[in-house]
Amino acid sequence: MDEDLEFVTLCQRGDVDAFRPLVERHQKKMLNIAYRMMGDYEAASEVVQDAFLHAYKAIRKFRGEARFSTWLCRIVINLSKNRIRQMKTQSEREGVSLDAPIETEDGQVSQDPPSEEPSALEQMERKEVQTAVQMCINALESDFREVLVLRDIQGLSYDEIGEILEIPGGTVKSRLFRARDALKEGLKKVFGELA
Amino acid sequence: MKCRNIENKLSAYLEGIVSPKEKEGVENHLSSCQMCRKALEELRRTNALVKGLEQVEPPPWFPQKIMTRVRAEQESRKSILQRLFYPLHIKVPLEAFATVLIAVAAVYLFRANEPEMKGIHIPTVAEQSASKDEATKQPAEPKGDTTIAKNRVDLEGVPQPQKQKSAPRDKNQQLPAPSVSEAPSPPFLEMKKEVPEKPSGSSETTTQHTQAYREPPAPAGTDSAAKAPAKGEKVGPRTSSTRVQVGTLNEKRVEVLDVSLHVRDAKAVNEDVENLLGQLGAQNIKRESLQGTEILRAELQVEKTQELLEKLKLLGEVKEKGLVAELPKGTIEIRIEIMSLP
Repeated sequence: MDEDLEFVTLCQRGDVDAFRPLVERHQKKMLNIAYRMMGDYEAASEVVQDAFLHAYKAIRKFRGEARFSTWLCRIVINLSKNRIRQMKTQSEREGVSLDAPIETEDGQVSQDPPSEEPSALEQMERKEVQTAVQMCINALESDFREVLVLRDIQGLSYDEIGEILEIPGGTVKSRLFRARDALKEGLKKVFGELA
Repeated sequence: MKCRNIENKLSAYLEGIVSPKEKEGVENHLSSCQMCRKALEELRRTNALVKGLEQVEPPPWFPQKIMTRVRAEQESRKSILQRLFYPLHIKVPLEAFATVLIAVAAVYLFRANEPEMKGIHIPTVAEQSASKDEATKQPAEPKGDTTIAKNRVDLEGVPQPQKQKSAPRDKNQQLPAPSVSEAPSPPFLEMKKEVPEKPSGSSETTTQHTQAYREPPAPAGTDSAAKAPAKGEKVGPRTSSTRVQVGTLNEKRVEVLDVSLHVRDAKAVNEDVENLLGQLGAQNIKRESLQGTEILRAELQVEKTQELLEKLKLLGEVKEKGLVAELPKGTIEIRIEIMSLP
């Protein structure tokens, strides 16, 4: 049973205040999905706001066939992918490559060639590692990012991911395994040896 | 199993979603292949790094900001809806209500004024001239109103439905005006004189009770003297009262002989009277039955009226409703009420 359905029904009847519990309940998860999809907190905040707004506008069309969180997650993913496309277009126009060296607080971390030192990962601070990992995720194709974020970061089931992305479960798995391999290769370029 | 095949299954192997047979094949290969073991370890570290990513917290103002935008959206949607449908919601019903109100008022006014509209009398040229004459003579001769200006018949002792019944137009036209003065004068008759339509086809009809005969002859005579020449009517030269009546009533009036016959059985006698009328050559015999009273109407030659009265007296008690000095020549309308004695 979808615990959001009660509030959704109230919203469908025109009760605006009933939308607030839905926002408070799902804001963090949606923000993290958007943030890991884009790697930009501000952009993620904007996307999530837009997603909630879109959800409210279209809430009368919500039939309860899927969970509200699944439906909302689909909106967030789609808006995030749109934003990624815009950002990519903008960076290409400005001549900035996504393969450009990753900027950290301490300077730049070169992605290519990979570090020769096996202890590079261990020498990096935790925050730097996280930034580097996020940059490697950002380097993935959107289709890979979304399954990786939803499965390995958010821990959603394959069925749920398939429902959100509207693709079969088998496609989710194959896409996820390829995404992991791609990420592994990206991390190896940043951190050198992972093992 | 080759390394390439193994690498494709490492993710599923790590998640434990491979079949036992595949698991055994992978493990056999890993035990003998260091590269694949390294690849597995790199994959495990990758997963660990991804899962180790910290969650970000939404800003404290986040729900409020979202709700502000949602409310703004709601308001803008309302305003758009109001802009689009406000006229429909408010004005259209108002306009529809106003239209219905006007229509109802129009129907009400029409119905309220309908009798007046019907009752509007458009005077003919002859009437206008007659009215002018009356207007000039009214102070001296109040009787003028009763002779021409009145449109309604006022019959004493005659049932109401027959009061307004006028003689047929063709009968009226058959009455020759000069015969009025030459007609014999049965003394015990009450006459109702009717003004028939003009030859031009005007529907104006004026009837007058012969009560006018009881009026003093002098003023009536002046009235007739004023009006008869105007219509070109030939006035009978016999008695002054006869001249007064004929002249006053216009040359196209129809004389009505009104007789009541009291018998034991009105229905039975009714047939006898009808046969009698037929024998006397009466035309257009009409029968009416009204509350136990049989009424016969017919057109009869004036010469036959005396004979009719005498034969009626043989059937029962005859009562006349007035005295008439004389009747005009030609055809008159006979109206006989046959009433059963109590």
